[in-house]
Amino acid sequence: MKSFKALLLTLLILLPIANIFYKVNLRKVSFIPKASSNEWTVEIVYDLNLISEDQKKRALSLPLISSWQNQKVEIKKINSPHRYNLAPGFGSRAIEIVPDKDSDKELGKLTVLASLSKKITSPGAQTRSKVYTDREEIRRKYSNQDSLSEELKASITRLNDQLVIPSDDSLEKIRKIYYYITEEVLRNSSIDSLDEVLSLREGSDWGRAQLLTQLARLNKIPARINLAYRYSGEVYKGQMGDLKKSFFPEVLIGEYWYPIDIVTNNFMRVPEKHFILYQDAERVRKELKSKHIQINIAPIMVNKVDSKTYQKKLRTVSGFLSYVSLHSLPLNQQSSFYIILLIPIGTLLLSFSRNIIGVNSFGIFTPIILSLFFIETSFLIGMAFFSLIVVIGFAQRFILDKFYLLAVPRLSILLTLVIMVYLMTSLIFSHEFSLASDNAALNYFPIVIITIFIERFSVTFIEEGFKSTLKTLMGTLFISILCYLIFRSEFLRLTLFNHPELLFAVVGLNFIIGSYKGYRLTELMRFQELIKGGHV
Amino acid sequence: MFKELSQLGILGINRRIGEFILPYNPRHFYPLVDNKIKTYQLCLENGIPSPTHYWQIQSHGELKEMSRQLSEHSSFAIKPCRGAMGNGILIVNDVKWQEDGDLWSFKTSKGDLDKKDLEYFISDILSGMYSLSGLPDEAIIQEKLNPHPEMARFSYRGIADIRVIVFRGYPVMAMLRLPTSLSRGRANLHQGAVGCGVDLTTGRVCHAIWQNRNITTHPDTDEVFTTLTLPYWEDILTMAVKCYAITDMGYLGVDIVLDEERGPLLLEMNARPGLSIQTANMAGLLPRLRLVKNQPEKLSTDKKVKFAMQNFPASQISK
Repeated sequence: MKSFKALLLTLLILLPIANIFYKVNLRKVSFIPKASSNEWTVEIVYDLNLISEDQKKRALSLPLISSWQNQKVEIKKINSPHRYNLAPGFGSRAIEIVPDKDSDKELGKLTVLASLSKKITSPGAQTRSKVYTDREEIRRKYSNQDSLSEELKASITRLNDQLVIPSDDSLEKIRKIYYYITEEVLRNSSIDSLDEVLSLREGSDWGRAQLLTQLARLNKIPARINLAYRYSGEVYKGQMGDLKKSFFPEVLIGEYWYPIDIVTNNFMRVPEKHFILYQDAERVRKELKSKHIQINIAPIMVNKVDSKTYQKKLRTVSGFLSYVSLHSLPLNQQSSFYIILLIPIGTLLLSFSRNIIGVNSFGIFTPIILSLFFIETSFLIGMAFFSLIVVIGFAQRFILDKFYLLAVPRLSILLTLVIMVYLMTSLIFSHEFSLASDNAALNYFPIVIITIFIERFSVTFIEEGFKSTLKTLMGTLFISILCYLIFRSEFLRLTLFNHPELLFAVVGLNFIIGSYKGYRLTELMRFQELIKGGHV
Repeated sequence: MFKELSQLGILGINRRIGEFILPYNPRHFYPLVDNKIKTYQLCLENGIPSPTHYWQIQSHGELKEMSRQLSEHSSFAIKPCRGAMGNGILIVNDVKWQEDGDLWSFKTSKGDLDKKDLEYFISDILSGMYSLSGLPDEAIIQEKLNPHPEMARFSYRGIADIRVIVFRGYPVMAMLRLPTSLSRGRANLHQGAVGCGVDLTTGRVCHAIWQNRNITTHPDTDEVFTTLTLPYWEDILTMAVKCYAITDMGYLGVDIVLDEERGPLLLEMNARPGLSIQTANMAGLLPRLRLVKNQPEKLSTDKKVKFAMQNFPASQISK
């Protein structure tokens, strides 16, 4: 029996590792396939009523997002109350409207719906972009310093004389300017105007970008400012987290535009995790300032990795391996499995916490469901939801107990209450996250588990008192936070998805924990009195 | 890190389950000990004295018969059939009945309740509120016991019980559990009862713990524990050994109470007895369990009792 167990264990743990080794090292299949594009919907709303009178005097021309470098923009739908044309402008594309001048009606809103896909570039990828169209025309346009007052121009010139030597070449000059701005001009989001940036040596992204551009132009290097959006979230997950407006300048040297990122300090490299909305920010900013342009961005279905190429490669290695690969599933199922595959890891952690550390929790599923909930929303929202649930647990005992309700209707009331809290949380945080993901199964599941959790939790509270309940509650939280921290690893998720055979190893590890007959860590505490007073 | 624990021969939770409960307690016998109605029947069939069941309630519909069923009794205890850790137990005292047989007034261990509260309490039990698994349960109305005077000295309300761990039919360790004001009359260590280690040779209390601390006198009655020697000691051990014979559970916790008139009564059995008994006795279970592992299983009840009395005296008696 013992040797059979040892054999079984060895097989369970070694086979998956051997298989991965075979795939990765012998057949050169990549451990994790390359990430492919991310897609978002971009909705731009132009509120024409807010456009200032003098702007209206000109023909209405509004900036429009366009394809650029690693981003691809496809206009899906334009909802316009007026006739419109698409034309070049604002450094890329513009939408021109001819409003019906005779009518007294309000101008209304124009909505553009576009899909934006972004190729995730690996570090060191191509960062410059070639100018194909009339270079002279572009040079003229982006060297223009007419907007500067004579006074301002003079002080920029003074600064420039301290920074660069006339004999430097363009690259050397721009490098010196870059170092000056990133090291000497502090970031201060409230300082926008160029003369303040010059005198205070502090400035917003916009202010610093302007200073760099004007210094470059003074040295006869054409420069422009890109209006970009940076996102901080997990790219694979399709969540962008905070979306921040940002500006980064580009300079034209020879026939290429070179990006200069003065926010995360990357000289001549495209900043990561961003997309460009408009390339001529100096013009667009005026429009944006008048607040008539609203931009909403939401992730669409995200194709996390390049399944097609990976499948192809796998097929050359083994027909069987490619058949059992999760990459062969439809996309929506794939995204379910990214989450579902985490559950066995969660139960493994739970076994460890229970049998080796000795932490108790309410049920097996509660901590795991809770951690998945943290993952789907965010830690803070998850905790808020959890606290509300605990409050309901306490309150229902004190309130519902008075009415002598039978068990099933009572549970039904609880379930309804949980759903109401779920709705409330969704409504409150709707601008940040949607609780209801595409994953129906993962959505309904927690509600039931959490309802049962409330019931068990409140019975424990009545029967075993506050202290014991709190201990188990803390245990539940401990395990779910532990799971949450580990589940956050994108690497873990991709590894499990690409090599689901690792689940056999999980079974093996559970076997080991299940056979552990030694003491639990918490038993050191429990038998403290005995250790102190006991005789050997 | 765990060296001291293993030197003392302390049995940990994992080993308790993996080495004793799983191999020695066949799953299909569990209902015999988890279900108090089955245990009661087993006791009746085998002549083991236990508290009398007045009424067993299976469904909510039977509740309206309450007055008729109980009208002869002035006190009783309500318990869930498959409860655990003393949860869901209600003691009802001084019951006065109206002439038409309806419940008039009574006192309970949970303070002032009315008839509706009582029905609700039983209904909760039936819904499975207090059962081990959370599944629908049955309720038992049982004879209310009166503590033996020797034990009453050491009890705050409620009734003390004696837990004997029986391994392969040999008693290996025993503990007396005494209710306190903190435990609100319940004899459960987690809820604040006192646990006393018992010298298996004499039945004398050798050591006591309360809230995981060593104590020498009862927190409510101030009586000194070591002055207590359990009456009917040999009968208690004999009853514990018999429990093994009727259940076939190799690793068993037997809970016995001493009634003023009826002497030792089997209260209930437990297939997963707890480990605090070791702290109460200031001794580890493992050396005793290992010794019993090598003893013959088929031995008369008397011989098993003798073996335990001979081999498992208290390791130390605290002053």
